[in-house]
Amino acid sequence: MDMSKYKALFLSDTTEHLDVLEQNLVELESSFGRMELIHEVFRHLHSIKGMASSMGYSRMMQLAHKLEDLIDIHRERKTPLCDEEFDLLLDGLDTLRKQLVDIEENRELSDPGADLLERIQNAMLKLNASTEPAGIEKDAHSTVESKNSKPEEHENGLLEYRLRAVIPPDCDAPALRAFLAVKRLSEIGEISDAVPNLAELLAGRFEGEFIQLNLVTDRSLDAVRNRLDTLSGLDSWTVRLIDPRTEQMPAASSSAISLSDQANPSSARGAKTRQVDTGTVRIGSELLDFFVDSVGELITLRSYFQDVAVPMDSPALNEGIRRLNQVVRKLQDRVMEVRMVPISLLTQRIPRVCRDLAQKQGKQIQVQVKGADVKLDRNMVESLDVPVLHILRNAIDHGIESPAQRERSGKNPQGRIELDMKRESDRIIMTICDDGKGIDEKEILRHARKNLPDHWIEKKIQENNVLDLIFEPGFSTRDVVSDVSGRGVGLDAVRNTLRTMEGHVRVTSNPGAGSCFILDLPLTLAIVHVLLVEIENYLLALPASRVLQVAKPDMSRMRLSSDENWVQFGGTWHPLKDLLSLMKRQSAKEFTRHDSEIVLIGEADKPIAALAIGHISGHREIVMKNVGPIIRKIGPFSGSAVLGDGRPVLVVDLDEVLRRVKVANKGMLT
Amino acid sequence: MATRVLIVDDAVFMRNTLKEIFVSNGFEVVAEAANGQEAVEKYIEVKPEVTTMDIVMPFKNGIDATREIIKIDADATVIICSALGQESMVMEAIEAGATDFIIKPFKPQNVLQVVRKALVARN
Repeated sequence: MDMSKYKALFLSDTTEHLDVLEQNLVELESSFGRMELIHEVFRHLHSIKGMASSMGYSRMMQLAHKLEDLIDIHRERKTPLCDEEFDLLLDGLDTLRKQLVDIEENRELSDPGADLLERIQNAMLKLNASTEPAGIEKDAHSTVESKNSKPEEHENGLLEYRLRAVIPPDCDAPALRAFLAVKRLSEIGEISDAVPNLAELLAGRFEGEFIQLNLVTDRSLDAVRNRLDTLSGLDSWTVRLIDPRTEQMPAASSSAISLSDQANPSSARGAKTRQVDTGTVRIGSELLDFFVDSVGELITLRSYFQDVAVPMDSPALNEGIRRLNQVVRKLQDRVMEVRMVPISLLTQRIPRVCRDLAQKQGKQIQVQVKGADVKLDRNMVESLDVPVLHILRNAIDHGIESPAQRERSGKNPQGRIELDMKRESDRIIMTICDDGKGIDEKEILRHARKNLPDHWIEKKIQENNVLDLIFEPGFSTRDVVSDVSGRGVGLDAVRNTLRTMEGHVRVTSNPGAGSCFILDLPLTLAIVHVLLVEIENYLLALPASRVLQVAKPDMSRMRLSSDENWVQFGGTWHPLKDLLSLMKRQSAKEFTRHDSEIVLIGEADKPIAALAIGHISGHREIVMKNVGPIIRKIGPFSGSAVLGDGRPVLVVDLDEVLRRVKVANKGMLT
Repeated sequence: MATRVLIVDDAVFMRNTLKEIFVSNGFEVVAEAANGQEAVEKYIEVKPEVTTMDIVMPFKNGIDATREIIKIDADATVIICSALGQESMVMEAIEAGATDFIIKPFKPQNVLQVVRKALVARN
């Protein structure tokens, strides 16, 4: 049988196994031999071996087999692995990766080297003199695989239904519709096998358009149909009774090629990727960028037609625009979706990198990554690589203390680093926290006074933001440049990279207990939703993701005085500022924009200030381009765009405006 | 008999918009409330078949008001009215017992569809 056509699938499957294997190994090392992880490691090696042997890659098969035998001894004896064995397994893993590259590039496979094989052999001999010689297949392994065909026994009277529904992505709030549907359905039964998975749906993460789930309930088919009838927002749905013994989710059954034993059935991510793999074509990233640019131009053109059509008032033209709009929107959604990749592409290497760095420093560190399934624009994941590694190196190098020091201060000798990614509306918040010694403000000031101009320092003290100084160019907290961090590139590089991505970074610290770096990023760079506002003679764009509410309150909801102004939104009073004065850095003067519309802006749903912004003349999706240093000098602008009618517009950097508000508020309160 | 509706919103404009939609489609708006506290009182007083509930309001927000109404009447039909960007609050309100939700700015056909489906569920 010609296996070459399965090569692509083999490569992607094996890569995935290796990635998970690496994570498992690092986790296993820091968790002192959790048995289920040993099983996992064994299972992945077994799968890799099986796939390699079906494809005829005997060198790869041999190595995987040896490694599998080694772990098998621990699996059967339920004993933890020693340090030397971890090194062996990780070295073996690196060799397997090399071999995979050889396969991809049609080269002869790298020889693992007699040395490595011998080391494995010796380790095994050391463990057990009576271990079977390597090279003999064992069948006993297949029991571990326990395919996902385990029939689900339902108690008498319980039925299982398969439900599929369409929730159009352009409906009001697809994620909420999905959430409500799941809630209402779980009132009458138990939900399983949901796609997207249940946790995502219940966390309000869903962008449309298909939803599928199994429902186990005692209700009749008609009763389930009636329930579905009461759910608003489901465009169309189907429901049918299924026999759980014969049915499989399409995601699992689509890996039709039996190259090897079924991969981990419990891993939804694995199953999903495989489903996508069966029909994928690789395209160059330039082509993808071209698509995005073209969609951007289409959006601009659409706005142009919309503007032109208004005075004409032609039903035929309006209908045409309406359809154009639909097509553009669908295209835009799909193209954006293609650009989105899970952040795990970046984070999956982290535990390994940290382990190696920590080892060099003689430190013990456990790394935990949460929210790796959050999706982000592909370009941004790539650009984040360097800053994230930089922050991690800093944490390991400067933050986490040596085991002895930690013990002296009553901490667990093993340090912890936690990476957490969350999506908050249009933004991604990534926090990188360590439980090290934290950052000492006095120390920061001492170093800053040596290296930075005084007025910068004074400004930060005034803003109560001394820690922010570590992001200034020329700042360094360590006189001795260590082997792994420092080297002349400081945290200012991190801040700059983040800025080019329309994001920002800040740091918090609890001396003695650790520090947190918080990275705040937009989901995507390419297309931004903005409010267009006209204030005096200026036309400006405000990123809609920062605008929480818009209102034109009457005077009863405003408190104006000569030095401070307040406005009421939904029962709460917020300081009221004038956008233009803030942008021009004019000091507060009497509030004159009584007929202005007012927007409430904030970070991550937390209101910070109300801004008088003149008159809102519409909202648009714009293709944002970066602005150069000259424009940045004029005022707080983060980007520019061309509107459909050809007018240029500058996008206000609301982060900077918010910062100015905070400074002004501080003055007002003290 | 016309379906009896209670409208809760702190903005007169919003109340009027909803009222217009309901009245021109054969519903009867039996009461209005401008905050969560008032909403609970009016609910007890008029026992409406449908209540539309704004979330962000002074004195008592829509989520707490919904929770209290459901405590008083487990079968109450409460429709949350929310702006885009308040997803987490809507989820909280659904957990508190709200039947469904509509998103501002209101489109009459959406409002009517949601309310009618909620009434089907109620019967």
